[in-house]
Amino acid sequence: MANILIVDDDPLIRTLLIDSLTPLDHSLMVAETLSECLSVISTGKFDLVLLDVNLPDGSGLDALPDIRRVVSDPEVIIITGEGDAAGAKMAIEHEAWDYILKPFSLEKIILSVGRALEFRASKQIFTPAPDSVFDRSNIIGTSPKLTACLYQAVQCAGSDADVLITGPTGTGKELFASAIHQSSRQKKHNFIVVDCAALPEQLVESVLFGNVKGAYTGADAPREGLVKKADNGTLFLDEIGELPLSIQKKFLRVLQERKFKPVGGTDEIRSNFRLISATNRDLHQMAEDNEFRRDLLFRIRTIHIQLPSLKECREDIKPLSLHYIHSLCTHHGLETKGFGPEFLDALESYDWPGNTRELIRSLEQAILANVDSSMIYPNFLPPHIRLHQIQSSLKIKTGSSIPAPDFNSADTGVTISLPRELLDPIAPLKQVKIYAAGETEKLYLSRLMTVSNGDMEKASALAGISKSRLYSLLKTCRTDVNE
Amino acid sequence: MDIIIYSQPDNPQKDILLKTLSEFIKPVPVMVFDFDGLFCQLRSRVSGSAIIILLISHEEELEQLMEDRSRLFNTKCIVVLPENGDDLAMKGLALHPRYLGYADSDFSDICQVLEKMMNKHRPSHKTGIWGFCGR
Ligand SMILES: Nc1ncnc2c1ncn2[C@@H]1O[C@H](COP(=O)(O)OP(=O)(O)O)[C@@H](O)[C@H]1O
Repeated sequence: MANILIVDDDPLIRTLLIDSLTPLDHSLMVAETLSECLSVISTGKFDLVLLDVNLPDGSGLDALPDIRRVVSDPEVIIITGEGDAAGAKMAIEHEAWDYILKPFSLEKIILSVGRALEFRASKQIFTPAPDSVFDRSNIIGTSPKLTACLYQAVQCAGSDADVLITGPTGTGKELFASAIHQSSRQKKHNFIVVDCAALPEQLVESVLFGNVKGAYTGADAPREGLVKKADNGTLFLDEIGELPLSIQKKFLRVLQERKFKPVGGTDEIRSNFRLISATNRDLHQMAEDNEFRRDLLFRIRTIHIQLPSLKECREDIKPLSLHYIHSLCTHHGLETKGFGPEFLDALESYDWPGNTRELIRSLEQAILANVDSSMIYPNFLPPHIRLHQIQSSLKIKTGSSIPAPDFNSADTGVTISLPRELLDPIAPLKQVKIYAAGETEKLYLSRLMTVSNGDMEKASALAGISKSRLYSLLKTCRTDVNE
Repeated sequence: MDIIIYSQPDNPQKDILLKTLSEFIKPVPVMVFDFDGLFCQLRSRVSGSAIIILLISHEEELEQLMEDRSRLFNTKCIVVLPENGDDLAMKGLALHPRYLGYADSDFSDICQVLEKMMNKHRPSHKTGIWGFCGR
């Protein structure tokens, strides 16, 4: 897998390139301007840059020498709308791999990318990989919000400042913390994880600071705490919002003085660690409510990375799914499975409250739902996700002008509305009947799936039809909606 | 949330651990006792649907687990070490466990941590300790 930077201000070209390179399992990042490109390239580890010439803040060709000078020395493919001899000459002089004119065919791009990467791989046999660059290879996604967080992570890796990573559960806080450590000055030392949410209050202090023999009942031996184990490395305090107030005070002192006493001990122990903390809680609000020390909060957030929820980065769902379907299938000893647009549609229309963790879990459930199938279909997904897709499709269809039926109201009936076009001018009865039957079917299916909680077995029994018939009705209803 | 225990069959600590766990969490478990059994089990279930307790008796077990770390996939684990050596602890911590405990304790710390971790995952399906024999 190669790290590729796409630099183009045209969203259509970016999407086209992302869509054609994602299946090749490369890790992609995008920049829309020259300055963005130069800032990310100086700190990232890139194998290849696809560089547009006419960028809003300058010419890509002028930046070519700077791009070639960065430590990871990426290959460059120039993509230009206005080819000219001087430009081509400059590209060749600076050893650009290729000079491609727009409009281009995807085959040409894929071929050129493949060759450039082959060339780079052969070069690297002789040159060791550069050392001090940010390795984002485990972090998938190219959405603007995730990319912005990656820029920050790159800066964190280059400094020793304490970092606070916030964001909803499952958004990759631990993943980012580990990536920062792996690319930092501390990388040769330990990355120590302390899961504050897993530690009962009575254990936190001895886990963090250690204890001397006999410090408390059951302390039969002296133990070194995790703060000491992180000496010269990184201490990752996950769910720091769960740290009891009494420990917060002690920990603040450790951050200020870099020394502490183990439980029951009198001698001070030194530890020089880099702190990365993470939480899904609002620490400011907790400070307002006196549940988190304000002075500790200010101390730990020298750099603050706020990770977006997955629903804010819907364009990342596809590359994440491709990556995880492959690794999950490998993990479960299966051939990598394929999926069609309707599966992706189901994934992209869901809001993922549990974020990437929930996405991975749902993909895994879908893969295991039918291990023999070479494809994954939407009906392999957990019921609540299927249900969500069906319901949202129905909502799109009925639109805002027709209120969604309130099945819970005291009224016994539910009405459907006929659109004005059918009544004025009056349409043939047959056409109106077909329309009404279709709408009735959709309302019925929506209610059926709600009542049966997305359970196809139960739904088909209630409806008195076979599961395959039900599935085909749901599918038709969705296709109809998407048209 | 299920609990899966990895232990070599001849590790005497496993019986004490099981007894202590059974006082905290019912029903009483059967257990996973070797690498093959553990990984076979992990391969057949949705990752993250269990907490694994890795009851270590020898350093080599940790080394082997470290080598096969990717096979643990997204599963949260607790590491229990036989003794207080620095090297051993570093190897255990490299697995990024949610908690590192020692077999010379009465395991009540492990139970407290487990309880807290499982509370966090509630409501989910019924909790039970279970497992199977590897070979
Ligand atoms: N951008 C991403 N690319 C690849 N995997 C991701 C990404 N974000 C999260 N994950 C995966 O999602 C799961 C949950 O991530 P984690 O870092 O534990 O989340 P958090 O600490 O925010 O709860 C992990 O398996 C992690 O590897």
